[in-house]
Amino acid sequence: MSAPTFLAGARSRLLPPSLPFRFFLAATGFHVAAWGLLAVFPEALPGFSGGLGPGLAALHLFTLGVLTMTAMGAAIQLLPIATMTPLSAYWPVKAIFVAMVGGVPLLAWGMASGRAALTVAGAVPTVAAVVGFAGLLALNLARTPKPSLPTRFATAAVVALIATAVLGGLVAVDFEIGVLDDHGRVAALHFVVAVFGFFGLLVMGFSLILLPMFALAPAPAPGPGRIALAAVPAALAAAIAGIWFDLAAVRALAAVVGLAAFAGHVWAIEAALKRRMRRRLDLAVATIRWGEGALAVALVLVGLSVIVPVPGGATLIGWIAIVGGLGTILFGVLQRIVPFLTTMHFAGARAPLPSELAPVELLRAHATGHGAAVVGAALGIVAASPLAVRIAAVAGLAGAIAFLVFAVRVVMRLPRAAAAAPSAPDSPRSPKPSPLPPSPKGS
Amino acid sequence: MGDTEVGTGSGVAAANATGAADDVALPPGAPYLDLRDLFPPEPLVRILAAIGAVDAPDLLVADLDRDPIALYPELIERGWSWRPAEILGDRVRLVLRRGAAS
Repeated sequence: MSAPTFLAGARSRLLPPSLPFRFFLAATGFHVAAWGLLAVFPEALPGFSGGLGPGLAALHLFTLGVLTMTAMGAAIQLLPIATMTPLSAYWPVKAIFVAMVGGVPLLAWGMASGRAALTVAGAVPTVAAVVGFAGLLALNLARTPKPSLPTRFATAAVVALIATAVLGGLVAVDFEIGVLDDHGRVAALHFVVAVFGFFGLLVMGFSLILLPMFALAPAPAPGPGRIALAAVPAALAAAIAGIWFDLAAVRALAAVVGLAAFAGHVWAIEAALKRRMRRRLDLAVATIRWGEGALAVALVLVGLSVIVPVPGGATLIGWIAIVGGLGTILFGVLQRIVPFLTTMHFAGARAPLPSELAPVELLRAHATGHGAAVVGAALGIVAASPLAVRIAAVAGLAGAIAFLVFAVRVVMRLPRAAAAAPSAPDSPRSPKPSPLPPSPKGS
Repeated sequence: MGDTEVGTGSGVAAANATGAADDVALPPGAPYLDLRDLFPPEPLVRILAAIGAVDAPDLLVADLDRDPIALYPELIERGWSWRPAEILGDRVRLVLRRGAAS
């Protein structure tokens, strides 16, 4: 008979809050910056065609500053839970964060001002951070004793992330020294692999855990997820071939396969949610559902664009996929896991409920502003109206500020001891125990 | 989720009847859930179903593959408390009791 060992790290997956929260707070800050940039330069969005300028800068503030930062913070906390394997060290996470908060603003500044050298200077630390993050995930995934469907999605996402970083680096360098024969085609590959590859696969993998967890529902049936895990990489390969060889029918086929796989995945999750214990679903789940709907619309438009011209073209599709789809989904996730992780760092007797940490009105304000901004800017793209984009961007900015205030207020509630950064060598910590009350009579 | 109803389903047994309590002293007859080999959020859902059942016990013991960190805020909401999770070989053991921590 062995003596029980209290969790000191080996099985605990709860990171010191400063690690994931630094990414989440940075993401909310970049979110404000992205909408602010569009509010100042609204003409950049309807006229966006992929070159250097405020449009490209705003796009990368969304993708790298908001989406990637959120994905990084969520992945370092959630992946070790899924893999049952703690992070081996914290210093790479800190180094990745420093490179991102240094690189992304520089990259955006270079893009917005049209200075290629500055863009490359920002791209170098950013690409290094992204590749480092991919390596961190790959090492953790490789050590998992029990691979599962979500971790397999994460593995596929890591492959797509490395491809995204390489393609993005090439495109950035090409602005300065011209290494590519067809800049636009490589940029299109970068977009597809990033949006539908890395982010799409990561979102699908984590939603298999997070949505049932938010709704207290059983795990989704694995069949559709397994099919999606095979179909999405196949669709990506078809999309890459369709772009590279300029085959419109192959691109349409890729969109149809991707849409079917995504629809099956969503259907399996929704079927599980019907058996949920939490009767009333909150704003986070509704937000994620809206985001899923927007992603599906983007895929439909990709397929339709082969048959009929889509007003707004690739800009509209990219906008709906990135900001309407992925952005909406990730803010749905963020609004739940930030209060949840904060609650976890209280000793049980004093722990507030996640819903008590900050007013839900701030989340409603964000949802309203974000929704209005996504739709308004889409209309502005279709109508080529900078005024509509500016109004939408101001609404988005207001929503982004509301979310920033929400996140800061929640994080300010962290117990001081828990908020302190861990010292090296870092070791994961256990959730604060909640002392058991006296045993009731008869038990 | 019906099989997690304490005392009635196949997923629940009394600790002293299954041998689950071999490694640590537990109250005799403490309801026990073996939730190993289940992927998140299934263990969380089954524990919450067990403590939310009409005839839920005041004490519950569960073995899992991993520390269920998402469970703890739900326990707080439901007025349950827990003893720090313990590693017992290849499993993590949770002891939960009705009533907020003092």
